Amino acid sequence: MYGLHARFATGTRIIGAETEDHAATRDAHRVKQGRAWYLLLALPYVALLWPSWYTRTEPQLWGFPFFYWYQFLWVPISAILTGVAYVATRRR
Amino acid sequence: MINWTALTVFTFFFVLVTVVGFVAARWRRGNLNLLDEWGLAGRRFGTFITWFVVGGDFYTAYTVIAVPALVFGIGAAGFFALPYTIIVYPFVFLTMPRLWAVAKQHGFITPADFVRGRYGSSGLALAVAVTGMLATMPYIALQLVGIQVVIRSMGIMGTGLWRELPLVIAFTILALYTYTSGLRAPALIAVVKDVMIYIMVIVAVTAIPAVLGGYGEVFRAAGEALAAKKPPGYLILPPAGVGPYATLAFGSALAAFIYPHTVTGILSSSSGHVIKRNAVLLPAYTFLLGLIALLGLMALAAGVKPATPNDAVPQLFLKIFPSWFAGFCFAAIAIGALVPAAIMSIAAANTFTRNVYREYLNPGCSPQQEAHTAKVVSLVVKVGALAFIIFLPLQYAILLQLLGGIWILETFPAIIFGLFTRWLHHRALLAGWLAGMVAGTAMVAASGFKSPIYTLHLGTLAVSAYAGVFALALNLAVAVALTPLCDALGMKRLADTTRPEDYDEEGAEVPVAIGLERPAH
Repeated sequence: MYGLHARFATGTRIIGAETEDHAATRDAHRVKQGRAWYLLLALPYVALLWPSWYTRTEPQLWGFPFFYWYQFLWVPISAILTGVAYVATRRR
Repeated sequence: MINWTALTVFTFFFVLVTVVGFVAARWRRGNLNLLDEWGLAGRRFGTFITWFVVGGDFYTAYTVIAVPALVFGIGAAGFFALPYTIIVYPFVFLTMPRLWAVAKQHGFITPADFVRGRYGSSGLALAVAVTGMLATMPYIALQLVGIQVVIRSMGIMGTGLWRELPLVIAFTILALYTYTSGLRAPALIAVVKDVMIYIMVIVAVTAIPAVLGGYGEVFRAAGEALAAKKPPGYLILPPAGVGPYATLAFGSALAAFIYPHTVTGILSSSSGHVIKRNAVLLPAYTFLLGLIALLGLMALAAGVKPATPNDAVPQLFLKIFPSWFAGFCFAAIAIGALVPAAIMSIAAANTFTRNVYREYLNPGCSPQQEAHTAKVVSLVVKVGALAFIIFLPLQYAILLQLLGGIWILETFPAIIFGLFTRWLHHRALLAGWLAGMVAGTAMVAASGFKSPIYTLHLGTLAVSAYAGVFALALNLAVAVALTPLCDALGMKRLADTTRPEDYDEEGAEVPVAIGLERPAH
């Protein structure tokens, strides 16, 4: 629903038709609403920039000490979080 | 003794990408006499090609050699490359689409172009440009090391200048197709290179542990080998290593996408959406890099005794793989050096042309003169890098690249903060930059130019961290403190040619989207 409005809103702004101010307000509102999603992008920093949390050998996984597999695990997690933020904040 | 099988396979792939490099001039044909076309390939790369370009540009051959070499030498501490290349992408997601949008709007080609437009200050732009070139040049030289190492591994020794001949040939070819094709050449070669690197790594991380008795055994044997080293390395990061590990990852991540060559990769994409999608997709390379880092542990476990740590991975390949596949891997690494070396030389050339030549030497230059200058400078830059590697000790290039990482971080406030706010005064930014450059260099000098880690003593507290992070903190403190002062003293702020809406990364694709979507509503 909102997406549809925003879609039109962006369109009208470019074409320069009637409801420009209205559309701009709506756009701004949606952007603001989307910002909370950006918090997801902070999680990899929290998870990885305090190495004391993961400088351990146990538990091991397939022979990998925790130190190694934990960091590898954060590669897909971080990509997924970024992907969610992308889809959620995309205006169109 | 020359390993002929490996050399034949190596030569085959090298010739293949040479052809690709020259053919690239015809790909997505544009007027190569314009800097936008030669140096940014017309800003037309979609999600797929951008993935290869940035991947090939950011994960360099030197990385493929140096990261496992570091892990081979010191163990867990060398693994910081993994968190570094994970956290860099949320940052790219938030900042780079804005840079792309404003650059597209105003025809900016380099980070310094943006700084010039944003702050109106040619002095600040020059500082950013010079720092960018200083940081990029040794990086190009180090790519050559990747080629040197694999050539040496195939048993080509020779004496005197003969020894360097293969390197000179490889670089001459690279210089020629970069000259003719511009950014299109490394972009197209990146596709070949990355397919090869993926094959190499997937085979290596499955076949080598199988020979060595599984991953459990690899970690056990590597742990023993590390403990036996003098000074000892560690399989798991010791408590004292935590601060340097985290700050190296953080500082490197902040620096990564303000280098001129990574910005070149970003700006050659076709929209902010392409960049955002790539922030989601590029971690595939990070996973690969993590696996490459593990090769250092495998070399330890396999008991490889290389002449230098850089030779660890090639020696491991020669020990475990048949010659033909070792040759394939060596070709992958060498070609992996060509892609970033080409993009870096293009980025340095763009920077010189835009921010020194056009700004100071020939302000009225025509677009053709501009493109021609960039092409010639790209040649000069490569010859310089080659001379550096042949005539100077390798340690100098490594040291300068290390310093370069710290230096480039000092351009962070002007570039990245500038994308969001113009609160900082350009003179305060310049003072902060200078303070950071001096302090960062002094901190590395304090270690006898050996280590990027500096220990700060605050009373009884000792904090060990990446010198770049300390220097950046000082830089920011100076810039923030002096901004109100500059304003109070009535130092005039110069014109900002950008407008807030220019940074709107979502708006950029609209014209196309309307064309597609209108009928549906």
